[in-house]
Amino acid sequence: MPDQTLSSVAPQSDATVLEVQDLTKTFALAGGQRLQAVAGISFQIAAGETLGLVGESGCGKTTVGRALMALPPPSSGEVILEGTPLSRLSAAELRAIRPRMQMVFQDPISSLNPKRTIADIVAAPLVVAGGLNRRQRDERVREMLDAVGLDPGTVWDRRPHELSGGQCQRVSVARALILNPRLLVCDEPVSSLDVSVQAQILNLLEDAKARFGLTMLFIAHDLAVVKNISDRVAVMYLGKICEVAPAARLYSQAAHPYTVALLASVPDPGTDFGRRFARVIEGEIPSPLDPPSGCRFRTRCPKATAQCAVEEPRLRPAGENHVVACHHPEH
Amino acid sequence: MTAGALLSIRGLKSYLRTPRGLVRAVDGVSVDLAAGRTLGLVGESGCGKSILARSIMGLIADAVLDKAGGQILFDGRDLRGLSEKEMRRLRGREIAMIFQDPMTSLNPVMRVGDQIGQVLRLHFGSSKAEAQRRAVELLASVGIPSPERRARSFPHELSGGMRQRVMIAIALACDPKLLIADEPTTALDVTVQAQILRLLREQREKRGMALILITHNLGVVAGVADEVAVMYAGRIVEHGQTADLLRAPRMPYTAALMQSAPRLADPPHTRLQAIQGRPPMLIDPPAGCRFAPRCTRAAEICRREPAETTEASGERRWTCWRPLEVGHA
Repeated sequence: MPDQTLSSVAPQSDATVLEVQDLTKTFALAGGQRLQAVAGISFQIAAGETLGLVGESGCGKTTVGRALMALPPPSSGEVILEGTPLSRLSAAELRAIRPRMQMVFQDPISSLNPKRTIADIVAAPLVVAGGLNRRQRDERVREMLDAVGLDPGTVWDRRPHELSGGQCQRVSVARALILNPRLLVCDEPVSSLDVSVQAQILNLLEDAKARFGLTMLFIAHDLAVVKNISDRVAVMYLGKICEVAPAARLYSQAAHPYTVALLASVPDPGTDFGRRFARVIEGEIPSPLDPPSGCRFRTRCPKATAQCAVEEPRLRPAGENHVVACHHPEH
Repeated sequence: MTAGALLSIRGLKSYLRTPRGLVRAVDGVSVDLAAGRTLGLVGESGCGKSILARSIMGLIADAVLDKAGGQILFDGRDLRGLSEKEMRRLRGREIAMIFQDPMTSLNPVMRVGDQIGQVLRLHFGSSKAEAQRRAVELLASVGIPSPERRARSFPHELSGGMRQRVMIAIALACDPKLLIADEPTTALDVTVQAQILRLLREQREKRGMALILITHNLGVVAGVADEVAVMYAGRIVEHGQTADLLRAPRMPYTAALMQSAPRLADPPHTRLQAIQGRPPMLIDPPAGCRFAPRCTRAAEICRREPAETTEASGERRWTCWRPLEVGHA
């Protein structure tokens, strides 16, 4: 039984590109221990929407992104892409639907094959998909490189190590978009880049989204980056979603004490002179091998009560298009 | 040298010998730091901020480092003139350093209490029991719960935040006059980053030591630093009191850096002002201002001649031919 109701996390639009139902992912560790990295989460993404998935390391956000792509598949739950439940597909059917969703990874250089030329890397999905001859493929690669702001003539025969991190991330985006996907999953696409280059890639993703009609899941730990690119934001903590709201609303009217603490921790260059770190929360994220009973955030929460230890809070409405899983929300 | 400066760096040049040529990683840096003050050293990857820090600590091998010029005056001594033996006495004792990745800076096969104790035995000749007792005290002072038990832990048994606290405990063991923290929170989550910054600030105030905080994150310097120096391509391009500099940057690079970072206060989908291109290679840097090729304000003179440094009141300096007017940003 899903513990996070679907209706409560549904976006307004009727055309849903991605629907995730009670997704879990458990890893078996040496010694027989089981680590539940994702503990039953549900969300939907409407056509043309960008959903930001934010949380600290170990919260399970990367596992969610990878489970969507079956890298590896989820332990339970369902991923529905444009109406097709992926768990029921054969390997061949899954391969056929794969071009509809593509992924951009964190490390721009190591996620590209060091031995291949940039043109070959961007063309690879076309080769796998088949159907085009060499000349047609080259034409598409040229279009895509151009679309991501790379000069095809300059980078065509280069290899990843000859490009900067920002340029490699542009190559990753070109490779992800060349099959015209509907859904783009970005896992920390700018976190290894310098701030000036990060801005270039964020602008590129916004442009690509508009130009190619993309729907995006944007996974990141940086709250300011996530706010900049997202329409709605889901906050994860220790394998669960604790709050979902439209981006502007989440940042101005956070209801979950964890979201409030996260936002209070981000130092701002314009206002935080000589700050006293008054609202810093103590402790660190507990081990997913032994998550706290009840609410998983209660061990660090300034508002925790006895109820939080025994009863797991469900997601419930906290305003328009806004849900929170907390017994003592801010509002 | 400014009267009362604990650290005074004058025209420092640290060039690195590489197979592709001499990299001018630090190319004429001058900066002073008074006792008890915090300097934020800000810049992007490759700007030379870490090489500057390692030059102060004497942590670059002679085979690689070309001491192309300048002085590092610390408490009246020129560190560039000290022998390795003299540097070893000073390092950890008077100047300590912590790094971005505590896992690679800690000894993986030694208990953390022993690693702290080692510093005390080396510099003060403390007995084993005395070093052990002080180690537990230090672990407690950096906010590690159950310090007696934790002193017996190995680094891999601790979280990233706890490891960075251990590094800070080691750095503070000898009560240094200067602590250099090189991206100390970059690998940490944002809630833990806030804890570590608060700890650094508290310890700095309690001990009256000077702190150089190296970071790419302008928000981090805003919260912790008294003054900020912005580095670009091996040089300091702007320096001032933190609030003055961040509220009204004069060097276009500082302004561009601030505008390219998304801010929590901005609404979703705010278009970011990216800086085009990338920093220059420091083997053969541009002849004029090194930021000129990427600068929207660059004029002919910027490309032709290195910019002069303008000194203004309030210890404000910038190195730019065409600085921004006050009130621009």
